[in-house]
Amino acid sequence: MKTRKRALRIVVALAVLVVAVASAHFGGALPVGTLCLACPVGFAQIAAASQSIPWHLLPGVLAVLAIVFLLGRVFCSWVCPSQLLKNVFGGHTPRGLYGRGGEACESPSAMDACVPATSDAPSRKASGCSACAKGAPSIKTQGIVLAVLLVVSFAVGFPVFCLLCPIGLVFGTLWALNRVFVLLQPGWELIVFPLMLLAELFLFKRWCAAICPLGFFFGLVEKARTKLGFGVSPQASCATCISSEGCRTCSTVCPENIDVATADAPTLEACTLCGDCLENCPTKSIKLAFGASKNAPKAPEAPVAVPASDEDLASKPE
Amino acid sequence: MTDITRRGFVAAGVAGAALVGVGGFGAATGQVDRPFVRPPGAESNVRLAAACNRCQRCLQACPYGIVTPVPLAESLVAYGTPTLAFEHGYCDFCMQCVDACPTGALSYGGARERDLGVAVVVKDACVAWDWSGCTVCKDECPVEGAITLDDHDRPVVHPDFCDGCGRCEQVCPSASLRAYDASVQNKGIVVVSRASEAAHAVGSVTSEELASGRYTCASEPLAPHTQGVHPNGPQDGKGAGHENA
Repeated sequence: MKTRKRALRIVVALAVLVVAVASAHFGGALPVGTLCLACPVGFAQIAAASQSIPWHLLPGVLAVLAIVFLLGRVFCSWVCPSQLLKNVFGGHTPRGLYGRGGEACESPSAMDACVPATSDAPSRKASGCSACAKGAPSIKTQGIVLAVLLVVSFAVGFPVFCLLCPIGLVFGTLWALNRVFVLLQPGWELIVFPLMLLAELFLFKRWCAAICPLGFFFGLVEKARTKLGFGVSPQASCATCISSEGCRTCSTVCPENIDVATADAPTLEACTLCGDCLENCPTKSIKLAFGASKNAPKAPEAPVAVPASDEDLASKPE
Repeated sequence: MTDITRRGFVAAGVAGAALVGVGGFGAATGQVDRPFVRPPGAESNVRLAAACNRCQRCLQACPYGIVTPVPLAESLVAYGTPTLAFEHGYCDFCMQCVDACPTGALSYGGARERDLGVAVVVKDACVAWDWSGCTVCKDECPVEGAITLDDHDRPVVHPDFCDGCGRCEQVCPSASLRAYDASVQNKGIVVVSRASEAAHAVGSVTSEELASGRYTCASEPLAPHTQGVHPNGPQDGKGAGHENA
């Protein structure tokens, strides 16, 4: 598996953290804030806790949701510090939001857009299943978490989720480090926050999928996106795609287990636009395309010559 | 729409319980109104804890690097909200933190706009209490009349004038002069919140009184200063504020 895109994602997410910390040392010239500045959950929490609407946060929040509408969950793989930690410490194939180590999937996908009806291609097994990667089950539990945190914030008068949020914990660790170097005062944060991060992201594996209330907002926007057939998503060109020959590369490398060759728009709701499928597709058939997925049963295309080593490539990590 | 999976439900339940637990702990320990020295424009500790989204933009905006997040050890509820540390600088009410605040937790207007707290003299740490001669805080105080010397040449703070800018705390040389004795507070004069018990001390406090009263909420906050004029800020004087900007 090629990992150049992953390295790039690590660099981008690190840059966001570096800019935030460096900004504190520019003598006030460039107060860029942190990701908390544009957090829809923070906006809702503050409205509940202070019982007044923080209007100045609204433009940032709407901008984030607009980006989700246009590009999907690009925040999750490229910017979110949680995913950064998973990419850095998550081993060779870091877990995504839903897939790879998530729900085991039994039912093979029935809908193979690029497979000719008469083809005797091997049936898609669990690894290539797209049905289990759907975001639908998680939005409800994320909604429950959001409802609970709003009620608690309202009752106790402070934004309570900020204390548990992995994004906040990453920044909290950085500020605690900053405090050590500026004021020479080490704090408990330096021990507590990394432990909480470890628990939330690596032991409690369903954080992103089932808990993250930010994901609730993203999920809602994704649904609107699917309905309107809007936005950018990876789409395989049937002219060159060799999935009918048994290639599983895209679903193997996808952190969300999406089989891009066959994925329809609801399946692509889980896509974080990480770009791993684009990078690894052996025939370079996957491109980012605007508009609804064109995957629908259609006339069979002429099969393209396949490199012999293809299936090995799909199963081998590197 | 698929139903909620059992694992998903358990995860949401655990997260919900953790939220209720953290919130309940915060409410039960009554930390919400713990009095910290806040940047300008913080109406009250309760309001700041509710409205602040911990984005640290005020910390980034401060040209003197004195805004710092409240540590976890001092308050779970107020963790990450801004407080002031006067080790390396003091506040001249440039209001860049207020301008940077996106939530209105720091805002213009109100009695606390240019009122951070009040300085209190710590008598067992202040050098002038043992030997006369040190007048650094009085000499450096930017507000005419906020610190005067009594009959024994010891500093006395006048809460009506003091706006809590922290210059005295920053320059107090007691730490180096008393480096031999680790038991005393390291500064002879410190700024405390007007909402704190320690702010109500008449005259001066001991190190123990400061330790116990600094972050204890008084029944009634000390009234804001009414007379001091802080000359250093870009917009001269108390109450000049944003109308001129």
